[in-house]
Amino acid sequence: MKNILLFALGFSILLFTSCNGDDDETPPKQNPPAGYIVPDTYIFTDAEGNNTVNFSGQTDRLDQLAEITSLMKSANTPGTAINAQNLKDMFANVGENGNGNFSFSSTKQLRNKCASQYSNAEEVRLEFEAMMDNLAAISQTTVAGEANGSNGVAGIVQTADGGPYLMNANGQEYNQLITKGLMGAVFYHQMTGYYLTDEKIGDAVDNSTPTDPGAGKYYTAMEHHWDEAFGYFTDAVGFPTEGTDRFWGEYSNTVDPQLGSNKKLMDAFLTGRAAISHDDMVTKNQQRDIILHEMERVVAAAAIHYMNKAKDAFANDAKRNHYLSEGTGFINSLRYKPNATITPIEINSIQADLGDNFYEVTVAKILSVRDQLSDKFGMNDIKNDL
Amino acid sequence: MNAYISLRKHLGLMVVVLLLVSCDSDDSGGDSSGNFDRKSMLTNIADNVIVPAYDSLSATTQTLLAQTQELNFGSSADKVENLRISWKHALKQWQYAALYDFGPASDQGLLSFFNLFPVSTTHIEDNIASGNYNLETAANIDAIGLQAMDYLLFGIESDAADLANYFSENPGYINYLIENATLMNNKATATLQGWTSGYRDSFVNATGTDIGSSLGQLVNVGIQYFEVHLRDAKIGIPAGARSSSGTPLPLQVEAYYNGAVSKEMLVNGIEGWQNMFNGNSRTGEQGSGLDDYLKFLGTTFNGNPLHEGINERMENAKTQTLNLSSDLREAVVNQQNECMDIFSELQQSVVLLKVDMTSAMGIQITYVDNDGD
Repeated sequence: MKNILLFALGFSILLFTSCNGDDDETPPKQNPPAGYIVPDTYIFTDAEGNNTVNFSGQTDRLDQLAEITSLMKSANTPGTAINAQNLKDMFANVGENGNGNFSFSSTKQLRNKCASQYSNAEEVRLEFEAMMDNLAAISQTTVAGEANGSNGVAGIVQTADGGPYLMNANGQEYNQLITKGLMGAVFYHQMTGYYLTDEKIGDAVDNSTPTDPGAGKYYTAMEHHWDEAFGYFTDAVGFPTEGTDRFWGEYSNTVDPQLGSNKKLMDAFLTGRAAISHDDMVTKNQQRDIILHEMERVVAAAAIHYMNKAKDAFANDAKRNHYLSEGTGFINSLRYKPNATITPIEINSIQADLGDNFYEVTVAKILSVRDQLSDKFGMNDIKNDL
Repeated sequence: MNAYISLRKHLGLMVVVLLLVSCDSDDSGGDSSGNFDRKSMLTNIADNVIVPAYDSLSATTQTLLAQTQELNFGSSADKVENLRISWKHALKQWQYAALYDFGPASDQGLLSFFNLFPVSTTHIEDNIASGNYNLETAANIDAIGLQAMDYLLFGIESDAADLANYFSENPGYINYLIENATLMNNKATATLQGWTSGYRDSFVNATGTDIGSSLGQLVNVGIQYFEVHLRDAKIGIPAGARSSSGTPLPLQVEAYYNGAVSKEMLVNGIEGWQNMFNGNSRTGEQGSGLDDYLKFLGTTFNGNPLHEGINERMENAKTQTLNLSSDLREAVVNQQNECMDIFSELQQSVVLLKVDMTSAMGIQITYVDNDGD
């Protein structure tokens, strides 16, 4: 009886594996944990039933970036100028409410977490702020009711079914470069380069002492750090039933048909967290590796996805430039996982191949970028479908 | 014991079900289709419709290239006349090849490079005057392809001898014609090679109905082409159906400078689409197509077979086009109502294709742009 069950199970697993043509060559191994239950949603409690999950600081930062993006997008309406200082105050969360520009108060900020694990962090932050300056400057040139942007002229670019988008003279959309770039330099970077490192969730990190039960902090240090990594992926405990509407949750969902990333990531976050609570360090480390591997694949696949969209919209200035800006932001994001599959020099080279001027791009250049990425990440068999 | 046997049966069933579910996308059967042979249909469409269309296109662009290069050895009225005839022939071949904008064609950007209109004559003139242009860049998309040739061959001088003289005195135009023909020929040839060196095999073997399947692509890309490049570009926009004022826009007509082939190209474009739909070769041989699949599924519309309804709409549109008393450049102004009727027939075809056909086949329309950010 038991044998038959095992046989049936084994057979079905084999089938799934053999039919799963879109997988990469060496996925980290996922062993189901023994002796404890992995929940379906990101809800964990201690033996007394106290909630042990808290990632409110991450949710605050997702909300902050959402409001920054919303302000930047307002400049897509012709005749709407925005102020660079407001964007920078929001980035650094001046006065705990972005100097009055956020709809809520928080002690958290994006700026000090931006590329924080890299020695050139300040340089990266200044680059983002320089883009905010540029965005604000070109927003001053737009005129209500006019699409004044074109090759060589910064302004609003709009076509019959694309835009309006505020773009610089090279057709780059700062909103996309900044938003997608910060998803990489803050969220992805903090997740992969900080919280999922040995320093924060390694076997030596405290996993037995509740942090501060008196203050409602029933979690151990290791549990909390894992939760903070999760919070940078999504704020939805029921992902992917919910939480597919913004940031990494959204883009995992975009590439999910080809990658199966929604389930891979959510299962890994859930299993790893359950493992930590049951002191199963082997499983925790396996799940960490799965997340690091799969998150990078999501970023690369999102970049490939937008290269395809740019190619398909090649004749449409607004759409093509928008998709190239979005894709460039994701390519840039690939820099922010330490020990990445792709080196900074390779990323520079790919970006140079695409060129700075999105009006002067060719189909061949777009496909070259796509194909270099798909080669690098083992996605040649799915690159056309992404 | 009975429970044991029963459980064993269920486990067996479960394994089979798992097999079907997990492999459905590569399966040539498929749940709703019973045993319609989709591979035969795809094979016929690939071998007798698509590849011959690219073969013809590649051959005509080869001719265009050779004939534009000939102008370098002295232009003459005869050479100009020959080039004009070849241009029309190439434009006609394009109507049968345009709709397969996936795989090799998509990788070449064929739809963007070959026949977008209207072109910008100032942009073309600026390029020729400066002599400094890369026709492959996105920035030149309104200055290339068969419609740039329309302007260069018909928009400067109508008399062939006058145009031949003009070219002799202004060799920049000849260079531009050659560069443009080279671009088209490279792309048409690369697309044909893509199909004959591997893509054809993967196409006929992707027999599912899911998003990445060949049928999924044919239907999605085909209907999108029908909406944007047939219904809207060829008749809807010039007839004023897409502008709030409703004013005809004759400058938006295909081959505006030629002024005599747009009716024919609209008819050819519809026929090109029907060839895919009906699995027909250019010489009229009938093979397995989407119509046979609909016939097999028994899909009806208003009590009649759906595939007949679709063909009837398209036949109506062709007949009404041929019945217009002048070319579209004049007809959109002088017979605007008749042009709107043609647009309406095409619009009703779209509804049948996009709603009734796709739901019968279980194909998801994926090209609706939902990139909200």
